[in-house]
Amino acid sequence: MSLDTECLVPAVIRGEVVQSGLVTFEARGKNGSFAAPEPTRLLEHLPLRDPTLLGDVAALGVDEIVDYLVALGDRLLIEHNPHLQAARELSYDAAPTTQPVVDAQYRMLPGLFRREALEEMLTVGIDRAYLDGWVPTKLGDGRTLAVRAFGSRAVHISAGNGTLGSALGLIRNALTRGDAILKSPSNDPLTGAAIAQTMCELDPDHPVTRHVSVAYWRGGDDAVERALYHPQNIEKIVAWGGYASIKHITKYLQPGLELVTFDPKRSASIIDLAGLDDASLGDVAARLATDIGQLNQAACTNARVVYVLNAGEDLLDALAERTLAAMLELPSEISTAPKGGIAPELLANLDAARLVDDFYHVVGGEHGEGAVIVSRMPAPIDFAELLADRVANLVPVDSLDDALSFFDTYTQTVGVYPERLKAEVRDLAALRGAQRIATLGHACVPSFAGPQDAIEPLRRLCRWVVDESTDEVTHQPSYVLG
Amino acid sequence: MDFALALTPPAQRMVEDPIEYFAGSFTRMEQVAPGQLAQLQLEALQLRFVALRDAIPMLKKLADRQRVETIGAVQDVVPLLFDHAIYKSYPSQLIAGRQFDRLTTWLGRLTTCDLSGVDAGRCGSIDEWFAELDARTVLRVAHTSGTSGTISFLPWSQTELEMFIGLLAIVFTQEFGTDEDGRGRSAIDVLFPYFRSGGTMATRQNDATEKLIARGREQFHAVFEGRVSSDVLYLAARLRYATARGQVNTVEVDPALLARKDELEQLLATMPESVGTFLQRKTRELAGRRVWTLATWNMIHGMAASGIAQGHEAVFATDSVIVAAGGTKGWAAPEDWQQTVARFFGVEKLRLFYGMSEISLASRLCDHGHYHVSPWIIPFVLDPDSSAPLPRTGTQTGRAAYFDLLACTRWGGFITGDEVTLHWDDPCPCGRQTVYFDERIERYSDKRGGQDKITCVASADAYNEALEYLNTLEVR
Repeated sequence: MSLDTECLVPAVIRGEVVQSGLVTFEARGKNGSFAAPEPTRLLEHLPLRDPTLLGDVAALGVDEIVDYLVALGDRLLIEHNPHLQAARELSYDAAPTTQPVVDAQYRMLPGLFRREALEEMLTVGIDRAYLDGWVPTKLGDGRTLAVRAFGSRAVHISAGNGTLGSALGLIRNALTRGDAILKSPSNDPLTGAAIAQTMCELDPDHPVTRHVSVAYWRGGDDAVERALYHPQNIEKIVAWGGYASIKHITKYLQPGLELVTFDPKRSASIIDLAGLDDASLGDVAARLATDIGQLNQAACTNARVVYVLNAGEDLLDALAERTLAAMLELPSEISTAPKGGIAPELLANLDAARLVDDFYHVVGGEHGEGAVIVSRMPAPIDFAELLADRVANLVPVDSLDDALSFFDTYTQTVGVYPERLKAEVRDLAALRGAQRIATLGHACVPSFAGPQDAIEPLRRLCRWVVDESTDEVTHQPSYVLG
Repeated sequence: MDFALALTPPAQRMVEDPIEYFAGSFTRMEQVAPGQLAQLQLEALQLRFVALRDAIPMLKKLADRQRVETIGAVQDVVPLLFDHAIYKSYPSQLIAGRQFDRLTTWLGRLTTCDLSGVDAGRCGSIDEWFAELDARTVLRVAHTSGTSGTISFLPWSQTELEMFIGLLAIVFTQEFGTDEDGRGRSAIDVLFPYFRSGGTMATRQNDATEKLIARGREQFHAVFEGRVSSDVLYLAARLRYATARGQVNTVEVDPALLARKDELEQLLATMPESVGTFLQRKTRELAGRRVWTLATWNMIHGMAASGIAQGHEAVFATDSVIVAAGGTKGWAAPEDWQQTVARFFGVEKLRLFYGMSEISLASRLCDHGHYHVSPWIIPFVLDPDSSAPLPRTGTQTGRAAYFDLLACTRWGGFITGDEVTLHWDDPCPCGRQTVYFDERIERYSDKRGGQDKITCVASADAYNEALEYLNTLEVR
């Protein structure tokens, strides 16, 4: 299937696949458009207006839900799933990454649904006892608090720079027993629908299936969003995205409707080269190359600005050369030459920097393969925000503090080398806003069991309800005292 | 007969003094046969290349890398066209850290002018640096008003600027087909709706405008007599950039600028009143006279709307020259902005100008809605992704690039961020022989949802916003 024969992106509403009332949407990528149901016509059925209808899924035990997800995962093997195959075909064109990287993403998809992975998510992310029942705690004043986590009705606005985002949203919704309306991203409009269609095939009447809807509308479509984003329909909006799109959503917020945001993030590395021998430098280069190149630097976890301690000009230049060389050696399922080369605006800045050698040293970038820009001054390049397409910036710094001074609330992952430096980095980086400290070379394979962007997603998706019991033998009611 | 002149190749005469070459006539500029013009342009380009290839260090570096040693056809220069990124390729820490001596060294790589007499080490601000460069060199550096929070520095020489203004005067005071000789043009009163002086191109031109069009200080009438601070404009650019990203708190303000807060606040407070007083006085003094106004549409419209609000209409002579630059794309221009302006000034219609701070393009919109390319400018249409030149035939849509043959101390090759549709060999019914592009010009950054370019159109608002921001800060 190719996009010129207009691809169909169905909507899925609580177990039912909708393929009618189609209109054409502009797709990312070069090949034009896709057809999807006119979103305003879905509005009548999209929200779960009666919240008590969550009762069916609330009655399920967590084990049953995990069993369901494991069974779903078994059906998400790309070789056997035509819906995912169609989604993958569409992603080849629309995704920011190349075919081998897209292929690898789809192969990774069932891994998210492994029993062990799901159990770890529950253990680290939300004590499962709170999902299965009321958890009592006896207080010092004699009262007992029983707490239980209830699911919420939420719109999930997925990011499309990787294919796992939609799956993650659906898993989190299932585990917390919520009702999800997944808004598909324009650069991956079909993966969410493909998973939801697979759920319909697995068990169309299962409560988990009945609490998932997937639709596409243009982000910012006021006619859809104004009608949908209301406390009568949903309690939460879970949004991934850039500054402008998140900012846009904030206009719908009001008491009773909260925003859970995985907002725009940039990631960095801190590397100390003190006392490194040649072999270790090669190891650092290979690790750094992975953090820069994985997923073709389309993810928020990718290294972009790299702060380097204890490196003279020659050593820094050597690291740049070896990092680029290592990046070119990465297997194609991890990284390839970027789709369409280096973006024109970034390339123009890169080429300009090449002419100013007292301030910059540029390695690579002449064949669209990626590049490393070495700063001579101890600060990131002025066009650091443009860094993508396997282009990174090495910045010499005199101290850890100098490196950390560039961190802020938009700093997500910090890849660190050597390992011993992490103990020193993590508290300081955290205070400045950073959210994840990783061993250099592992920045782009985050575990989904833990917090994300300094949020505990499973906990944030729940509504936490408390039942307070008071022992009236020791605590007389206020009206008696009065 | 002047034998030296006769021996000088026509291409050289055209680019060394186009006003003499075209005998001061807009009509002659637009009437060179296409084949003949192409030959003239190629020869002139070859002259510029030979003279500048090794004389401008950044060009030399680029040409060495690209292994360009000769220019056989005009397309050969495409690998050497400068992207706007080159004019802001200095690290912005140089400004924050007031390392203006290093910034001078960087600037020196973009010009043949000798900057060795510049003592920039003492400069504490962009304003002071510009003053030092003006005092010690022939450069009249212009800066842009801020792309991606950084500003470009464009090393125009005084001679180049004056040549450009001289040509603008001819292009916009004459009508095609009249074959006037603008060399003997009498003085025209200039009305300028903004600050008299400043570092952006709009204000940079004013010295030359005063000299060549107003012919004297008495005939130049600016709404604000002072200089618009480049440091404030730079702050404005950074603020806008940061605001669009929710990072205003990360913008550091130079203490020296903060110390001037009271002065700037005073200026801000008196601005509306100044416009009113200015209009009261000038509409009386200059009533019925021919005036020249060249500015961005919103500046002209602002002045005209205030004038009409005060009851002034059809104030000046009907042959007044009102030139609106920059187009209105991306800005909420009122539908009837041209009528409002025409009503205030008393002219039949406005003259529309497409140009840019980097080159001496003096494109004037013809009655058929086409911007014609000045003969001293070689246009290129590039593939927006690969930057490869598209064929120089038929109608081509792509990224506009130019070679400015008048640039003799800096490199004239420049790639814009504009998408244009250029007609190479489809004669325009207006009779002009030059190639032309459609009126609709879009910025790639807008089309692709990329970074906003803060254009010169925004500078008036941006300036006020920056001043207001300063007012929210405390002097430390």
